Amino acid sequence: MNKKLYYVLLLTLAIPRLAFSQNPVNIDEYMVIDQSRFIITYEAMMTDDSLKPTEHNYDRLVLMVGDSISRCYSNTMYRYDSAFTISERKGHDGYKNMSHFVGDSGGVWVPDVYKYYGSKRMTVMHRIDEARVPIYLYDEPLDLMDWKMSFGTKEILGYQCFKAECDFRGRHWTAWFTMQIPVKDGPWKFGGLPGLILEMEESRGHYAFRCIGIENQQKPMIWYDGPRFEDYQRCTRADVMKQEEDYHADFIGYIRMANPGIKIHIAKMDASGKYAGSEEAPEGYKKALPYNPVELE
Amino acid sequence: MKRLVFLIISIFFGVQAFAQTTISGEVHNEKKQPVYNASVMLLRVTDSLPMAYTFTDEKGHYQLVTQSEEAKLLIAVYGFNLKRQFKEVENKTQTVDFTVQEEALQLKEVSVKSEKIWGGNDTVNYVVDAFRDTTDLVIADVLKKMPGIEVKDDGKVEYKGKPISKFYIENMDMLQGRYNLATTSIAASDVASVQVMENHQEVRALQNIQFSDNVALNIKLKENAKGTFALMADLGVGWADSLQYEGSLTGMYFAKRNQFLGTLKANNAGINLVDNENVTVYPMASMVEPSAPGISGVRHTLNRSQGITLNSLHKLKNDADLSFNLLVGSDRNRKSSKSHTLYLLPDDTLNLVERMQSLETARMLEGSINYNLNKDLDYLTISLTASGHRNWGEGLVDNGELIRQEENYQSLCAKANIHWIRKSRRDPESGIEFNSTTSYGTLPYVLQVAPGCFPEVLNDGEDYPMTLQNIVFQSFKSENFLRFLTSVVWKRLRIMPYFNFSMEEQALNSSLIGQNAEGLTLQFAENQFDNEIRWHKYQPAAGAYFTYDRRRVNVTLMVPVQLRYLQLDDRIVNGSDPQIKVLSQPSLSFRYDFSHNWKVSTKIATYNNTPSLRTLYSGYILQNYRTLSHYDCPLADTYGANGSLTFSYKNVMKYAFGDFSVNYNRYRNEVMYAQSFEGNTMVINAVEQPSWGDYLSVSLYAGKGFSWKKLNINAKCSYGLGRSPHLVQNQVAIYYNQGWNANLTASIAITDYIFFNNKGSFSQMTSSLEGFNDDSQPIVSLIDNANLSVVLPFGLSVTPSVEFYHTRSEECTDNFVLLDCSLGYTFRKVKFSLDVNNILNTDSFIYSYYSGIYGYYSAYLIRPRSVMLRVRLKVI
Repeated sequence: MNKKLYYVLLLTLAIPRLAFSQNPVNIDEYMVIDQSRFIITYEAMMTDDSLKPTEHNYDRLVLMVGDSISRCYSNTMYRYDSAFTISERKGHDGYKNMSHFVGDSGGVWVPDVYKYYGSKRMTVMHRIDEARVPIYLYDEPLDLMDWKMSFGTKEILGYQCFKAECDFRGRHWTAWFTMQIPVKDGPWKFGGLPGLILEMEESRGHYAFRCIGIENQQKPMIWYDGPRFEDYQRCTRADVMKQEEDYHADFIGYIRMANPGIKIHIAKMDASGKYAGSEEAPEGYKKALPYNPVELE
Repeated sequence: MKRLVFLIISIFFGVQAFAQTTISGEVHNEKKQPVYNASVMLLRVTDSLPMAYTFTDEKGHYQLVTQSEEAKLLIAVYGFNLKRQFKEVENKTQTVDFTVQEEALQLKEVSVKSEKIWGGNDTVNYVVDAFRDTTDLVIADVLKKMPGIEVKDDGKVEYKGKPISKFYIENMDMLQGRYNLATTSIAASDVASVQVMENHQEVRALQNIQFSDNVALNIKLKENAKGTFALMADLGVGWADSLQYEGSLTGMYFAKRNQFLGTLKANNAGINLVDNENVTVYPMASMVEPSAPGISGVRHTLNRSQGITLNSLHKLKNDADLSFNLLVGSDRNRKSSKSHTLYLLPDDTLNLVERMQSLETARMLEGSINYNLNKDLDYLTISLTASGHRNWGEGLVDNGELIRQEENYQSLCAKANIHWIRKSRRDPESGIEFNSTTSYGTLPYVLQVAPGCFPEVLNDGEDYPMTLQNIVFQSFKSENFLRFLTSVVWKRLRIMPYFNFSMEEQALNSSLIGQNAEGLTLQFAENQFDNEIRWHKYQPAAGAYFTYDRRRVNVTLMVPVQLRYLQLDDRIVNGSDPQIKVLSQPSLSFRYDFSHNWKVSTKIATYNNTPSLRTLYSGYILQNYRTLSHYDCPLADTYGANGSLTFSYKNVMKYAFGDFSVNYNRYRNEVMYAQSFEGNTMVINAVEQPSWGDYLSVSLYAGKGFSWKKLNINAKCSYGLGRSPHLVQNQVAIYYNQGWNANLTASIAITDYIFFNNKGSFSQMTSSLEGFNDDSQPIVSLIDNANLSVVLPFGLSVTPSVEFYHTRSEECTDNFVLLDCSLGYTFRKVKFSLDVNNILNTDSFIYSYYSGIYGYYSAYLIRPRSVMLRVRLKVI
């Protein structure tokens, strides 16, 4: 594990696509915390760069609703973890093999949200896009949104939905929920309405969640508690936001900080734009990534 | 005092206080227990829109406040496992209690439209159910509709226009190349997904060591299709000009450690159950017979064929696969055509019109055993294949004179391969690889032609009744390769030295004799037309692979040095001295993935060919009744180089696939083959005359799937331009060939019940002889095949289809149409279909093409109108 890592970052190319190396977990090591009653699938739309508001990425979110717990996670991340686990099962170094993993849709919805109905709190598992940093965990209260009912109805997937709006952490959201599914839940951290949220839209069109599937399914809901669990880092939401800001402001610096001793190579281009070898990044070399988080505050 | 204040405030705000209604109450269940966390919503009576909501507390209490001025209000109480309740109440502050009943909540399901395609860098997964519709029977039917994938008429699969190299069922390769058995047998409804693996290195021990650009396909079955034996029966009976039948029984079993696929088939409906997949020796002569057009065999093959295949695979304790394959088949094929061959000559154009008929019988038996151990550090494959073919044929040609031909031959081929890799336990980067392939083939052949051919050459100008050509050809080949995996690794550069030893031995014995009117043997000119030749080629080589492999860049350079020993031992004419040469044919390949979606690759290779015995014999061989050939030439070489550049595009999310490639090949020959004509007969002589030729081709492939109406489009377009020198009538003539070809296939589900498929192809070819006929007319051909499937109620479906052919050449323009219709009916799990083919009763298929210096036009007899009733059912 302590081998020196070499990176070649071809910086003229689309970096976020290349650097898909989310912190994997081994999904073989878990404990069952509840049983799902329904499984709701959403399509999540995101916009990485607010300067390019028409360039969206997509992921699929799975909301498992149990009697006392719900969990909302990214399907891409789950497939990524599965690939990592299969590789580990075969006795390989899972990390090494993951460099070839590519998501389907370019987007990854990072937070994995566990909502505990009884204690009215949620635990968010957040992984920052670099393999050798801890997995962050933070708690928040359950009913975070101050909803305002607005008169509007719409049918989504055969369910009659009502409209509600809220301002949440710097963004204005419109929700469509249905009383035909009496669950106070929704995608990501959303919830607290008298019915399941089937659609959420952000007013600037940067983010949206749309329900694409509803199933009555009993499946175990799990909490990963493998060896990496010890690496989980309890913190606050502010800590995670700080980490994400740092990462996006200068991801090379962030990688250096997270992986001491790492060598970072930068591809050079000649005058005609051809690849002309690489050279080690000088100390203090910086590179920023566009940052348009879902929570602005 | 307090009362006073309250009073004043109430008077002051009285109007507003009056408009605010507070409704509170308690929600409990039938046992009078409070219900916690139930939703209570206040709705407008007029349009049932929500105005306010709350949730009950631990004691079941709730309170709702509204400023609505409506006369009445609607309260809804509901929750997880509660039966929803509504109450209409007056709009006034009051207490409203609810007693709710418990009820298990069952949601109306909405199935997630599965992503039709998903995948990563080198794999693409197609979800079969997303492409399948009710009219699809077997997996090949669905593969056709997947973007990027094409299925040929024989069931073979191409991905982005490139044939797949491996076909797996549940990651196991049972069928060893004859995978069309599976694509045309496995039910579409039994397959969960189809996985395409690009850059597939099947040898796990060579992954990350040797780059591969092969494409493999894996079939993943649904859980309920695994571990059970299924027996399918297809039976069909009908009438064309005689009784038509078709029957097959297919048994399948796919489990984790064992797989089996067996078929028993018989038909006279155009399906040929004999193939030449593992044949390594081919006859040097043949009858002149109708050559089948490139349309579906069912249309033109007038045959009777039977066959059995048995294939099984077992996983051993060490996870190695052991597979057995057996194939027995026979076929009897009747052909008939009228053809017109045009030879473009420098000073003349030669016309040859032939009416032909033939009847051929073929039988085959083939068996193979394969052992395959494929682990990260160890690899071992041992495979043995043996096959025997027996063929008889008789044919008639009428070119003004009636010519009878008969041929009779049998081939025996055997092939053994051992491929072994062992990697070091301590350093898995290093290891040793050995690969040895040995094959042997023998082919005794007899051709009999009456009346006797070439009397002026063979029999001093005197006519004689019959010519007999006997040929026995034998070939032995052994290729042995030893490679050290990574002797030097520097960063990502790897140098792997290798040694190779190949040997080839060929033997040709032939005799050309005649028969006189009394049936007695005529010896022509004291056996000067006979051959007794041995040909030896030994080639030891050493060299190295240089590979550079990064995540997105891959470069492989191969530099060999070979010593080639060649000897032609002619026992009739004096044998030639051995020829020893030192050769080097380096090759380079480069690949760069410049993004997720785009890849570029280029390959440059040099080659050297030496003619084999097929073009080295000094005696004469009667290739067919109008070609007598003999090669009078020393050992000669062809040197060449070819390069290709390919841009490859793939966007799985957008279901888009594309490939653009340019290929160029240039060669230099030391000898040329002179074709001289004496009347209608052609004589081939080899002449020492250096020459060169080249060929440029450009091809474009694009495939795109759409969510809209399941539309899928595949387009292929290519252009080729070639220059080739020929020696005709002792003059060097340069022939230029050029051609365009465009193919378009599309499928669409117009509604859930109407499906449409179209397959069209257009080609245009011209061939010209420099300085002679520069203005030759192109041959244009347009083929379009469209079919429409309409699913009707009560399990009925109807599928009309039309094929349109247009051929235009200098001498004629032909348009014709073939119409078919199929009526389907499904009763429980039995599928019936009534097929009427060639409704217009078209009798022959017309096609023409240019090949080198030939122009060819043919009208080929096809199957007349036929009616067939088919039943497909699952027996077990």
